[in-house]
Amino acid sequence: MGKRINPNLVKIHRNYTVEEIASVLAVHKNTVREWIKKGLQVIDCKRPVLIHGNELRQYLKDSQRRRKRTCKPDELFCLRCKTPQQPIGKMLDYEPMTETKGRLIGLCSSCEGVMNRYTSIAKLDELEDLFEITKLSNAKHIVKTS
Amino acid sequence: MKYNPDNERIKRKYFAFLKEAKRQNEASVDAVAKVLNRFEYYGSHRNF
Repeated sequence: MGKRINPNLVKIHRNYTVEEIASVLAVHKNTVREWIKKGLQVIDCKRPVLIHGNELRQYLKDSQRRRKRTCKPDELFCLRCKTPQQPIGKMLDYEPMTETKGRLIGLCSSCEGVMNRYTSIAKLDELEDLFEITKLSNAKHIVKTS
Repeated sequence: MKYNPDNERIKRKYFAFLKEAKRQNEASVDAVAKVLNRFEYYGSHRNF
């Protein structure tokens, strides 16, 4: 994953050369030239190459939005695969954390790693249409038995 | 946002003039940039 860049550091009414962008955003100038190759608009074909601030800000925002992955209702985010994945056999465990909320635990269908999703009890009924949910008891601590 | 490339190059030189020769603050130059943008918008981005 690349460096996180704040698009709001760019001023929308100003225009920038490649070197200026590199110093404003603290990236290498070759990175900026890479953005131009990938589709960042330059104002015209003259030199020095100038980039409009608003175009640059929009480009950075769009590329960050593209990187964001949202889960579908029947998916959990797998931290190993770094993508939303369906759990194996649509089976999940529900482990309550408080009275109202808890954790859904499943195994990733591609890497078999553990995936988690936090949810409230209120939403559990809707989720039961999509998954087979086993409710675990809250007693995780050692209980004295005599 | 629409812009005129030739005007952008002229504005760039003017901002450098304000900053270096007139010793204006960055914030003042920003204010000028905003005003010029509004001026261009109402002139439908015609050449200066």
